Amino acid sequence: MRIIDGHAFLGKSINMEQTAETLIAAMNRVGVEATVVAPPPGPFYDEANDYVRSACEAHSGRLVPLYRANPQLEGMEEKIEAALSEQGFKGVKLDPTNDGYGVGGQLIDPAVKKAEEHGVPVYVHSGDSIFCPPESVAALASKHEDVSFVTPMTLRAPEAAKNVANLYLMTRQFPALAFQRGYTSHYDLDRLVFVSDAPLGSLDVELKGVEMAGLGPGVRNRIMGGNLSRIMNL
Amino acid sequence: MVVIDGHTHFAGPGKGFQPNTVEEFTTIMDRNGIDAVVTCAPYSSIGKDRTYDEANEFLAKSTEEAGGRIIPFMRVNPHLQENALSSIKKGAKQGFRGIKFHPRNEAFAVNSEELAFPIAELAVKLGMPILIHTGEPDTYGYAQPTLVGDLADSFPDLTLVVGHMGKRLCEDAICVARWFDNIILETSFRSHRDIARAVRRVGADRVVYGSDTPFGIPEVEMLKIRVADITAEEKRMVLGDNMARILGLEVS
Repeated sequence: MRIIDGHAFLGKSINMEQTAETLIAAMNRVGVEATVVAPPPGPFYDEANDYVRSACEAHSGRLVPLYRANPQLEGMEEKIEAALSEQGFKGVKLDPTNDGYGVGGQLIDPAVKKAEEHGVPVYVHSGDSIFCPPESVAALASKHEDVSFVTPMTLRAPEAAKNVANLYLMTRQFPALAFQRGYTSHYDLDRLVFVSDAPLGSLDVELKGVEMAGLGPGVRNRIMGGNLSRIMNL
Repeated sequence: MVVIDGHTHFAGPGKGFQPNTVEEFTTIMDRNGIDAVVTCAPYSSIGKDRTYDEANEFLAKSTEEAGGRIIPFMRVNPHLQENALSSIKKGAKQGFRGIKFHPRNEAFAVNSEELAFPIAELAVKLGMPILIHTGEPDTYGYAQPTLVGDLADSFPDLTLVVGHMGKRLCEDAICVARWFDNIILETSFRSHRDIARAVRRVGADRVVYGSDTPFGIPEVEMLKIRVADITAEEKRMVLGDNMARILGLEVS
């Protein structure tokens, strides 16, 4: 079975560090084919994006880069354009909590527009601050129907995403009990994306959650890579 | 090596999720290499009289059947003070080893002088630790770790186990545990990194493994300890030695 890890961090910040080598070693150990990687949070992203880009070039096909953008900074639109058209980035990552802006305003529309032009998804961190409640991400996704959005599965996210066909939820921590007990009616199984969030999360722990969930092969294939392959053209 | 799951729930058939029998529970323990579990009634087993009398009786009976593998904690409703205090006194004679507070389910502040302090005072007298659900600042913030700090400050001889390590308020839980030596952190639902951080900041002797079965999965929760960046000796302490020490259990 194909396993794609839909989100992990690559690089170094104040509270985490993961090199391409350690990530690839972990992927090989547990049989992960590819991982979508983004720079960790930090004050400035140029160097961090460069590190991710060069790591992904060195491990082409195994590491899939997201461009981490702070839409408040000058020239961001041009930088995203270059990232997506020339530098091989396959998506845009926005982190309203870390960068201190709300997803409800006009600020991030240009970044989303760029993603739309290039047919790539936008990852939006959400659910842990007033800047990005999942309902606001759902509203953003509704406004940009032709763009796929990916956001964490925090407490209110399944309800917020319920009727928003272009909003995908990341699975950490994997909701194994919900699957075991059949409480999955509030998830659209075509819009769940397996992620480890490593090194904040643990690939081993997340895969154990999948194992304990007892998924049938069809559902498993969709969550573990099929859904993401579709929206990222992997 | 002894493995004790420091936080689980257990009720009889029709009273909540499995396990509902001692056999079901010991099967889960055996599958995970768990020697014993600290357990208490889930909220779903509260009686129509708003007490946990029936649920506590079920636990007392199950404890007898389980051959030392079930370590029961009393669940009480602090709003029914008289019942709570008499239940705990009775429970101490039945072999209950501790008390469980759930400030969100029972809607009380864990540092309430009126509702929590009399129970805490009795717990000190009986040498019972109190396991406290903690987490997000819901229900007026009753379950926030900071309030546990206030209780710990008022009762320095009382051992308080911070359930779920404060969930998203994990850093608050770690802080109050650093400030008060009588606070222990329980790991369920926290990440392997949070567990390692708690061990580094508070000490390996003050962190205990918990799964919150049946609301958490022991296979997953235990794996977090195993992959955490702490030493083998620290893992041994977290997985069982610490809870054995807290409860005064003799382990071979």
